[in-house]
Amino acid sequence: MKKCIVSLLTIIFVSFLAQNIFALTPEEILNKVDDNEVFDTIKYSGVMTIKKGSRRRPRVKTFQAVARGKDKAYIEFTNPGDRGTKYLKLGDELWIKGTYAERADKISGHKLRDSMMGSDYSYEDTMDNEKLVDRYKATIAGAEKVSGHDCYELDLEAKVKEITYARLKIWVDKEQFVAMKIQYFALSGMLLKEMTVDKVKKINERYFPIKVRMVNKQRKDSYTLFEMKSIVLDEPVSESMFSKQQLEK
Amino acid sequence: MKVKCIFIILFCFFITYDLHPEIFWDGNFYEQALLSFKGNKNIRMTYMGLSILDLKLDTRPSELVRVKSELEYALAHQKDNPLLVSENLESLALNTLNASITPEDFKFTIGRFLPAWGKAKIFRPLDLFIPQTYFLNMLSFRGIDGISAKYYVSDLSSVELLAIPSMDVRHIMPSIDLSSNSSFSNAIDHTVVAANIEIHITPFDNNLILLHDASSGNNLFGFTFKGDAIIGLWSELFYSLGKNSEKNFRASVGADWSFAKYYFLAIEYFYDESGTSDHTKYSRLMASVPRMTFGRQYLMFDFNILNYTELNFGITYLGNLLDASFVLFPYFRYEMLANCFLGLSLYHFNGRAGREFSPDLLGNYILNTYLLVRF
Repeated sequence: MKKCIVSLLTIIFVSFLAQNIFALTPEEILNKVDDNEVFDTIKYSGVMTIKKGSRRRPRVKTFQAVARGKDKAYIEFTNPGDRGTKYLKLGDELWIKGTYAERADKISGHKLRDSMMGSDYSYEDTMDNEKLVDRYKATIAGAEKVSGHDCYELDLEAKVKEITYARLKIWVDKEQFVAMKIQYFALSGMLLKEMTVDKVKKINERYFPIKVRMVNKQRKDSYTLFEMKSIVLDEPVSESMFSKQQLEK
Repeated sequence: MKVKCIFIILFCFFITYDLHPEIFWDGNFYEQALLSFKGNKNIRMTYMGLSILDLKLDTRPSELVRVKSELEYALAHQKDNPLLVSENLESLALNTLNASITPEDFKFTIGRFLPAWGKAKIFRPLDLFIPQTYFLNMLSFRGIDGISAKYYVSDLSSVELLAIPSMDVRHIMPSIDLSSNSSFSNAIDHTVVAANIEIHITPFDNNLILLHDASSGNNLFGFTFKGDAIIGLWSELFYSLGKNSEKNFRASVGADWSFAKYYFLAIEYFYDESGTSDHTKYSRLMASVPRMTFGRQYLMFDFNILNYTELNFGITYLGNLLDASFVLFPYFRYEMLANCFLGLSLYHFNGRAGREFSPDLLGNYILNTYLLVRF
């Protein structure tokens, strides 16, 4: 009997030790998320389905997007009504060329946080490709199931001053290390938006969210479904894509 | 006849759309109704209406070549409509038809196109090829016939050379006779050559513009910038001089800021040396020159509420600072269905008799209603 108790205690102790030795730190979890979701280059066809309030028919916007790192992005809308609307982001600067405009107009920096094409995404949200670990300090808050996936629950506090969302709450899939759900908070603590991942695809040995729903928590029944198709990751992209010449073509 | 032929060709392209996968058709239908209310006791109501059908063609035969065209059919619902860029009730205009080729670092354009050089929000003295409409919304404009060569020095900087063999600005201001250049506005209706040098110095886009009217000898120097310094900032400086014309300086400077997540503010000041500070001389300016403003100093103020829905509303003030007249208009725009917008604005004109925005001219109030369908 004594032997049994000693063996049991040994097993419990070893497993506890193993859990602590092999447990991931919050930074390691964020690094794995960044490894999955932060890219060198990306090319894709996008579909944004925008649902607002009691309106029965959502708006559908289609576009082609190219991005490199965290600083360069180019988007061209292709749906009727918006065809020819183009965006170019270089660092913190943004230019837009409207459907009927002949000029590429520089958008003021403070407008980067405004809604893009009436969606629940801001210009910043859609073109964001910066590592979470560089911007936030994380702590593990617990574990929870999200959409059937076992997830780490992390609290992220901004460690840089110039940031749109002061705090994030993030649920990371324990197997695929994809952020399955993110809540975005203002400095005041108010919940602004909630993002959930509907679909993940394995591309080049990494798990990449390809269908994402962003819910505006400040508005009733408002969400935007962001879907990426024909994704090409980390392949060479011509530098000329990120130029005014491309906007004015 | 020419326009009819072009229209038939465009129509053939349109009906054979499926055969040309690299041809894109877009356009819009625009219906505008203006109701003017004049007088305080005996209110007189005047209706001004306009329908516009715009067809845009965009073909990309190859990666480097692009042909663009825009055909506009406009129908005024009655004569003397200030919105109609023609004396006829209906008009069919080829606003643009141009071909461009974009070999590495270059863009060459030939045909009818629309250089847009202004950076300001309302007062754009350097938008030389686009009619200035300060408070009435217009959708499209007729281009100029010319050749442009643009060289992209870097991703954000470029040099553009422009030649317009016979520049005609009658479509910009159809109500005036441009048989000779105006000493007030330096209007140009001759062969024109110009250069637009764009230099990006983070975080500002800066443009230096030089223009020479070969026939009249008039020269124009312009400088614009737009960018950020905590708030959005922009400016346009215009200076012209010539053999037969007075020196003329115009400047607009503005700033914008969005704050508390939902509010957007923009302010713009405009100085025009060619304008007059004496309102009794407005009629002289009206008769002789192509211009949209008569005074020397103006202020624009716009407050917009961003609510991230299909609704957009705000209020704009536009005032002549020296004659103390102004127009104030709340506006509202609603996307009823996908690509279908309903707009409403109420212009209130205020100022003593003879002043620029006096109700004597257009009425005390104008209710502007429009429907825009994009397809």
